Amino acid sequence: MNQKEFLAHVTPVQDRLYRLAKRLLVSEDEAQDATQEVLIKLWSYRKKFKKLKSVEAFAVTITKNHCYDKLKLKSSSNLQLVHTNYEDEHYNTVKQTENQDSVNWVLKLMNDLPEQQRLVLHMRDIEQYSNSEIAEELNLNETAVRVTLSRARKTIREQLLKKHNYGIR
Amino acid sequence: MELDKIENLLQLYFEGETSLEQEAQLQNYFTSDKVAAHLEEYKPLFAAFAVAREGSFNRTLELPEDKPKRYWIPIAASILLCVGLFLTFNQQSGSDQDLGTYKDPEVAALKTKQALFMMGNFVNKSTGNLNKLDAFEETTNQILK
Repeated sequence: MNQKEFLAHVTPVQDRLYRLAKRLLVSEDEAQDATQEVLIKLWSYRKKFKKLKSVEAFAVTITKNHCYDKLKLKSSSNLQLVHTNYEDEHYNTVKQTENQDSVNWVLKLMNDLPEQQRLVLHMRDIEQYSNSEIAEELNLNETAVRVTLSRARKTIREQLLKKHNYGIR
Repeated sequence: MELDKIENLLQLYFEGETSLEQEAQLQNYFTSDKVAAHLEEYKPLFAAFAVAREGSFNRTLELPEDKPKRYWIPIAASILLCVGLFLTFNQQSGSDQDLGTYKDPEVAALKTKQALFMMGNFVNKSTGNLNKLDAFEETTNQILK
């Protein structure tokens, strides 16, 4: 497999990998770094691509493990993950300026979810994977995926309504 | 779209029971500007999903070049090793057979004589040099008596 064929496999997936990394690592720079490293790792595995059922699923697994490793490294070296990258230039694309705060709030709520819930919610509601794909990639059964998803959505709703009704009720 | 249907979908959505298509309908509804007032609070949720879908990987990827595999290096090394071993063993066995003996006894005697003379010469030369040491003895005898 040469570079061109490899890129044809990887280019459609790389943005998804990046967003997944960002969901887990929060920082944009770190997510970019992680994606780069994951893609290079994939390049070294390219000979196995033919044997894989889905390159994307494999890539997602590698990304997830890479990010977990990064997070573990951080917590063990007592470095705190600093959540400073919530507001990036993308948010300007949202037209409803009055809602921008609430949008950032939701994104923050998502990042505050437990890792498993965050991952499932991200894969379902942002990347729109089917439950069976999620189940396969996270080594869960589909019922567990549905329950986790429901829990994550409800947690966010609860927090969101609390904020929305703040000072009203 | 009827409000009932949306409310129903929303209910299912939080139970995790909606299909991807139904979720797309919800997404469409909540990012449009016709959201019913009492559902307004869910707008940021779906707006956030839309925003989160936008990030992209923007680094240029530099893939490490493949090093051409040199299959011939180990092969050449093993051939060299074999040749080397073969040559050294051959040499040794050759020197085992040829001990430098002479077949003709006369020549052998002559050569032996020659060799012994040569050794004698060397011995004489070196013992000649030892004579000079007597000088020390003489001087010490003079002093110590």
